[in-house]
Order: sequence, then structure tokens, then C-alpha cells
Amino acid sequence: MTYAFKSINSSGYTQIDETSESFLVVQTGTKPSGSYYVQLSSALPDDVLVFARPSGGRTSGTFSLAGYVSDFTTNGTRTLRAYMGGPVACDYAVVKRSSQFTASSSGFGLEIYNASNQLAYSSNQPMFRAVAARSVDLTTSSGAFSSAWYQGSTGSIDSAYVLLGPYSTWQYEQYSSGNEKFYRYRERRAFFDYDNHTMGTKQLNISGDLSSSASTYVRTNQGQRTEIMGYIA
Amino acid sequence: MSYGLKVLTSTGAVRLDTTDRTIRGFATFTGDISNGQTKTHTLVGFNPSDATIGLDWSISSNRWFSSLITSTNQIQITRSNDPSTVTAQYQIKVYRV
Repeated sequence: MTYAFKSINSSGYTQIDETSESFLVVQTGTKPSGSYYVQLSSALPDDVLVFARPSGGRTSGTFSLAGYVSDFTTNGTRTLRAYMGGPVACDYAVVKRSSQFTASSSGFGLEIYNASNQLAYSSNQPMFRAVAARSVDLTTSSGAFSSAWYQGSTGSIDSAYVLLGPYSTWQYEQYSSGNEKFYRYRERRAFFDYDNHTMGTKQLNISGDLSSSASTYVRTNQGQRTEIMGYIA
Repeated sequence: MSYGLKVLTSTGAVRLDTTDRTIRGFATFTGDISNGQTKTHTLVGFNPSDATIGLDWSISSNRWFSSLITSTNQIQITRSNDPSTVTAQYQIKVYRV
């Protein structure tokens, strides 16, 4: 017998369904000022997602956040790191699939199982409440920048997090100018505008000198990515 | 009237609201890739135009030497022009939102 629970909200988005697993929070913390990344447990599954924001959120001003997850294994040792916000203190939350949590045997709340008897949702764990998402296509000519792809109301982004991943180097270039050679990283940054209650994606260029013998080229990290903002609750 | 599921914690905090979207698992692909290689993954139900499908991917080498091509039911990752000869590891995470 097939059985399940499905919730679709009035915007037409499925919140919980019978075929998929919700991502629930397994770890939260704060990356301290001066550190560039947090080391995560190598025991975490390989499909975890990490969200971040400037520590404590903000109520005014702006903040540009870079960040991505690095996950690789060398000589049998896995290194899982979440880079975020440069040296600025950031809050982060790690989520993993609901089936990797143990169901409660007592207490109150809502737990939903799929047809495989796996936990599909549990109210006992915090989760990421996505408010807005956009799919972007990074190409050789476009880093899909937008100063405000989400417009909220007063206070709506003050405590918001973004998904780490799409905010890193989009393009790397070695070029000549006059008789000199230079490099340039074109970076993508999540742009929290607390004054105007918007979330955007901005470009930041980092340039420097190269030796005169360096070759010239442009390389682009092309492809589809998804940007998401929302809350941990 | 808006509808959807709203869940409160025992202290009355909103854990899920009717207007919220949630992130749900779809598929994950991992593998090794050398310079000059393309790896293809089939994922039935994947549509790059579907705004409710999210995609995140990473590679252990410099990311600007890699690209991702998506089409219906298929995801391809390519690594090219990378001066490094070290085999890289990649993760492609697909989810619903």
C-alpha cells in the first residue's frame, strides 16, 4: 500500500511530499572572526548543504558574502570545509537528509515517513525555511549578477542565510596591458542589503601582477547554479 | 486565503510556515575527473528549466577549469585546460526547492 503526506502551499510549492526527504539541520555554529573556514566532521554525508550569514545577522548596512563548501579526500582522509565571509565572523548551519536522523520514540511533534519507512520530515529538528530561490546560468559572458534578486519587507532579511556554493570565482583571466601581464579573479558575492531589505549577487574583482612571460587566457566556471535565501528555524 | 503547512515548536516559534519552501533531496553524484575528461550522469526527472530544482556542484581543483552542462535527464561535468595533472574530485548535488 502506498501511503504518505503531501503539503503544497498556496504558491504551488511542495513543502513535504511522499517521494523526497526534507533537509534538516544537523549542526549550527559560528565561524570566528579571523578564520576563513570551519572544519566539518568527515562523518557527514557527501550531500550536505551549508548556509551562512554574517554573525548575528544585521539590521542596517550591507554585507557581501563569499562562500562555498570544499570536500575532498587525500590518502584516505576526507577534508570537509565550509568557507564563508573571508575573515569576518559568520553563523552557519549544516543540513542533511531526514532519513539520516533517528526518529523520536517519545514526545510531541510531527514526523512523516515515506513508503520506504524512512523519515521524510521531523518537526523535532530545525530546518531551512527557503524564502526565495533563483536558478542562474553562468556563461563566458555573464556571471548572472543582480543587485537585488529578492525584494523583501522591513526586517525580512535581517536574520536570513544564503546557501554556500554559488559565491566564489566565476571567471579567471590572465591578460596583458601595455607590456605587462596581469591576473584577474571575477568573484560572485551574495549581497545582503539590510537597508533596502534586498538580496542580490554582486561582482568583486581581484587583480594582480604576473610575470611578463605568462600566457594570456580566460577560463570560466560555466553552468547552472541555484541561489537560495531563507531562515534557519 | 493562503494555505500550506505550518509547524510550531513547543515554545511557539515557527518551524515551518505556510509560505515557506523546503529543500528536499533529489540526487547526488560524486566522482573523479581528470583534465580533458567529461563525466555524464543520467537523472530521470531532471529538467534544467524547472525552477523548483536546485543545483550545487563543486570540484577539488580550480573551479574555473570546469563547467557543467545540463539538459533533460542529464548532467555533464567537464574539466578542460587545467594545467594541473592531479585527478580532481567532484560533487553534484541536486535537490528540490
